[in-house]
Amino acid sequence: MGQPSKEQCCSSRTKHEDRLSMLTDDILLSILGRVDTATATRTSVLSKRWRDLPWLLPVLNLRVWNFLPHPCPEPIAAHHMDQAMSRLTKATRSFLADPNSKSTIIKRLSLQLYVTGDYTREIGPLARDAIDCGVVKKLCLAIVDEKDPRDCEHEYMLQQALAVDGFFTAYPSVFQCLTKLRLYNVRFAEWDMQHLLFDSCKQLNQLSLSHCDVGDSSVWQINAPDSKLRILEVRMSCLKRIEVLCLPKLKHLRWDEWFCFEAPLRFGSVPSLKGLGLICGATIDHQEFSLSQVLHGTRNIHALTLDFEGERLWIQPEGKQLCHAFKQLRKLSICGIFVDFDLLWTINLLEAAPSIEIFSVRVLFRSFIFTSFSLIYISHITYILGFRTGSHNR
Amino acid sequence: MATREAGKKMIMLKSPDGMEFEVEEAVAMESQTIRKMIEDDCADTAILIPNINSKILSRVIEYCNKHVPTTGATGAAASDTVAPAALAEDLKIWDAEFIKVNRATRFNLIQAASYLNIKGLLDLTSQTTIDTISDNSLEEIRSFLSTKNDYLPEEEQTIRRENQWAFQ
Repeated sequence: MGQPSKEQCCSSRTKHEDRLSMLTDDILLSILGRVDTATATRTSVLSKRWRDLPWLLPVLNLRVWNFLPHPCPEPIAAHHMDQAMSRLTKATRSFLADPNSKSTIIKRLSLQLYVTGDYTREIGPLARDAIDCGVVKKLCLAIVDEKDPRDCEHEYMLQQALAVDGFFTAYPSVFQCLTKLRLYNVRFAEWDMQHLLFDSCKQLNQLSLSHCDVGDSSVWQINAPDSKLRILEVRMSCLKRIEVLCLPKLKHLRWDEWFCFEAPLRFGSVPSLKGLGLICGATIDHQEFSLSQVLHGTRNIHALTLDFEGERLWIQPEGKQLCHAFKQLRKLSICGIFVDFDLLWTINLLEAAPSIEIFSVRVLFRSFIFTSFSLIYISHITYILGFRTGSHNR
Repeated sequence: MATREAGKKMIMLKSPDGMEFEVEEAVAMESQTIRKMIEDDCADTAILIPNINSKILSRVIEYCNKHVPTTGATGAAASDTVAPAALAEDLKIWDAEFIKVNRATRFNLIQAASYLNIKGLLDLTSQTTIDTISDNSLEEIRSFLSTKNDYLPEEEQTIRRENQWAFQ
């Protein structure tokens, strides 16, 4: 009598037990891997169990945005950027200094930085040494910039290019394991762009260029038969056109906003290209282009997204002309159609795609999504589209 | 291997406390650990899942049952059909209900999800802990996790000083 049962005993013990700290390193690291690095580092003072864990993280994220004040007033002030870079530099030192004594391999290091000040002169060698002695296996690098593309003068973009180029020239080791690169507001010399992005970065898998070009209204030709590039993302670009002459591994291409007014793309040899996204809110000057001509040269497009962002349509009315390019098309998404436009023209696209599985149309009403429907089976499409009639109204 | 219903391959999972669970192979293969066993042909009759008691194992199976992509008539994944957004929303609500468990159960589920390598379940079960770590002071985290601070004050001060960048 009065003796607590065994079950009660256990439950009262487990109630006050630190169950989390009893989990294996792997599990705790998987949890720490999902918070930002400063937060993970702070847990090292919870108890001795947590002391070394942050330094064993196999995927390390050192991102300058995590060191900005929270919330950060917009536009981000120079001194906030400077403080953030100062803290990022200390964090990098804490994780990468003395790489020879490190027992953990960093499978992937994500480094995000501003090229302002002298901070890269410390971060660069730390990254280089860690790469040279094999501690870092893969590097994802983002050289970010906070300036609004609309405020970027020609000289400013050249200056950014110099800083980016200077970083790579000073620490060529980073090329060895650079798999992902993200750049902002950079105006390259044409030769540099090909040399830097394709001749030097042999492991590059994913490239994201935000407001980067080789001059206003310039044409960027990509001819890189040995490149491993799989994903190319272009945002807010002043390029007149990208001509992908040869990128054998390219799987996905997305272009979000082009500022020149003609067809933004031309393809040569892109045998692996499966996904293409074209997103643009056209101005009055944007010309309609022939989608079939843009897609000429592709053979394998499975997923196509066209987003008009509630503005004018920028593709010419086409149907049968698209049959060849749409032969393998399985998913077609047409988004941001201004609500007053008729939808019947979308059937022309649909009819050119015999293998389609998913067809999705989204209508935009004064920048709010007004209605949206997504369908999968071809039999349903006729039904849904059946209730709209009228001509191709622009 | 046992088969039930039209062409659905079944597989037996055993917990260390002797309970047996017959599940569809596709459901069991939500676990990458089990998937590997099946693919390597190491799963003849029944698979013993060590360290996971029947109560937790049944919850794990419940999760996998809900999250396995069902196949529609054309063979396309159901998650792609009619309203993927609605389906995702439904799963989210279900997940939120599923995770309303006490702390001990949650940590057991984390352990099970990690051993069985079920990414979605690990994400779901770890989220509360991740939120706690992200949003609270160290004292609050300690209290939430019942972690005893076994540092001497000067030891703690040293770590804080060495990593001042993280404590600003």
